[in-house]
Amino acid sequence: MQIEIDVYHLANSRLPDKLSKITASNKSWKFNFYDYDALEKSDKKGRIVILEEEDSYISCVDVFDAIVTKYSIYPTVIIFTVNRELYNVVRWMRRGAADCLWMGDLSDQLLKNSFKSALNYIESKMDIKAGRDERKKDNLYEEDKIELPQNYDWDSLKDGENYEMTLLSISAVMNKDAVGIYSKATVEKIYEQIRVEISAAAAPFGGKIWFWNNNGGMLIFHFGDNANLAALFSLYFANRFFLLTYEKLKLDKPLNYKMSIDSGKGLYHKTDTGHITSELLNFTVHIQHKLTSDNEICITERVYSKLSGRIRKYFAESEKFQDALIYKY
Amino acid sequence: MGISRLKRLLTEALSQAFTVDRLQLFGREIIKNLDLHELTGFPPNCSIPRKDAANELVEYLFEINKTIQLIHLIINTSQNGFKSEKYEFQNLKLIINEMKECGYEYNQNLNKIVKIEKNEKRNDWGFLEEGKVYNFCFVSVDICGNSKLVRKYDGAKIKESYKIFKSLVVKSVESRNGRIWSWEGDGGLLVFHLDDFVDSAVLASIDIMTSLIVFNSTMNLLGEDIIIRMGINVGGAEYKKEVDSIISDSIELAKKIEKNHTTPQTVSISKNSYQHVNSALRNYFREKEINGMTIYQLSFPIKEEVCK
Repeated sequence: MQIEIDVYHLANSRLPDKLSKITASNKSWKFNFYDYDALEKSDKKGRIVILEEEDSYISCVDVFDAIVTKYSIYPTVIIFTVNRELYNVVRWMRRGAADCLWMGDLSDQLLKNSFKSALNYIESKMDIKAGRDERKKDNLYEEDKIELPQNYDWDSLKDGENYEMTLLSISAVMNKDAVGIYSKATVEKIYEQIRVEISAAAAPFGGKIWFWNNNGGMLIFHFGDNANLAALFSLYFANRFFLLTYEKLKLDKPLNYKMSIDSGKGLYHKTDTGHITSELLNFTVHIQHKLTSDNEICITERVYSKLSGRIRKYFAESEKFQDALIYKY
Repeated sequence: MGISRLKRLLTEALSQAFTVDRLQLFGREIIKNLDLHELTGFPPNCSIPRKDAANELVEYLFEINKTIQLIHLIINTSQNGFKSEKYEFQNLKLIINEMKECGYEYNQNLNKIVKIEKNEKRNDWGFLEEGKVYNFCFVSVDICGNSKLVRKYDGAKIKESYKIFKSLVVKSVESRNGRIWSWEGDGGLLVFHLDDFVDSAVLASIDIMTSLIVFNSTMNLLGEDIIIRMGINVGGAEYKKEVDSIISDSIELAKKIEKNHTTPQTVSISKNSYQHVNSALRNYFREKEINGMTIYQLSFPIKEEVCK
């Protein structure tokens, strides 16, 4: 199988000659040469792109960006450089290059060996034969990593101000079979324990219980990637819910949960939560009351659109509510 | 200090609490045909001084490695009496402290004297004996497609991701008094023995599966989710200090269930083991016939219909 490689070189460069020489006897590579001025003329067919650096990352990064964005699928890029600075290489790798080759005054044989070694390295990273989008998929997955917030201080938020936030409305619902089994006092104790457990479980995700009433309440996430953190918390908690009811609460009849999440700007107040009226808050509550069944999580399109690929797969499009698309787990 | 002080304290405790006749009866709880006259060398028609009888008994039990049994018997006697009579051992606290100096402690929940676990959890929970057969619940856990992942991703990233994954397994297992008897990078054998050990194994497995969602979203350094399978089976095995050398059909069955009868992101439990699981937990599992074997499975993420 022949691998097509698009080569973007400087005007009057010796790179095309060198590459043609080193690959003369090797028919498994096919080079398409374009100089910087002919970016638009490129067919963008190559799975691999070679970019000849002008003299450093700084002077060439715009060309790199212009090239990769033209490809419908993110290509694997090898940078050919004469710059010996280590940090220059680091910057290319961080930008998304797959490898960097120093070409300086290397002999044809050494250049050929370096090039071969670069291709071997790349092949070990991506399955060229299986599909050219493999590398892109991996890159996207890596970029989609959700960071748990390390340091956050709720006291830094001012009362009466509007902030970007994600709200999560949660309710614990007694199973039909369990109604009547437990006394009122026991049920109240169970709900209180659930509140304590939710509070502890939400903290590593940067969330806190904003207010709580009997069997449910509102969690607020503001710090870091709050939409992803709220959604991840909901998945985590949903899957652990029966561990909680069985192991911690020692209940024979499991409880059910309902969760709904929305994201946007909303009014914040530390304590006077009873008087807060915000569209965001109302919408989150409405979704839970009107659309969410037992053991379901509903999220709005605003949340879904911000989700990392790592957790988006858990949610499926469901229905429209007041012109907004709702996704469910 | 240490052994000699412990012996002295035990001698004091026994000689203060028991007459020689009662001491002989007490000692027979450990050695059935104990004869204190024979042990001390006093002729049968002579009475033995209490202190000598107690001292010889303590020395003898030490020689035949039964000191721990003696201390355990003293603790039980102080709590429940002996032959319907109450006994008080005034220096019991000192005995327990001295025992700690010698590397043992009394575990009230287990009602056993166990070896003290310092930095690492002991594979024998501090009290299993070499060569004896015990009941365990075994959980085989494995990362699916490990060889493919190893070929595809950078070694350092694999190593780091697997290390973090193992740390979450350790947390889930040890918080439920389980142990990891073997680990080979991409999986291993988890073992539960104490309390409701089958339930503990099931709960730890669920905990690991749910923690994996957070691990994959926040800590996994690879370009795709790490997916695992788990197989659970209860059964006997002869304990050996070198846990790797333990050969048991029950362990093999746990591994077989995990490898051949379990789909990715699923916990499977053998039919026999399922009967030992608490009914509230059983409701979450579904009976399946896979490759000619009836097993019970719970897949993750948990779907809504499972919870109903």
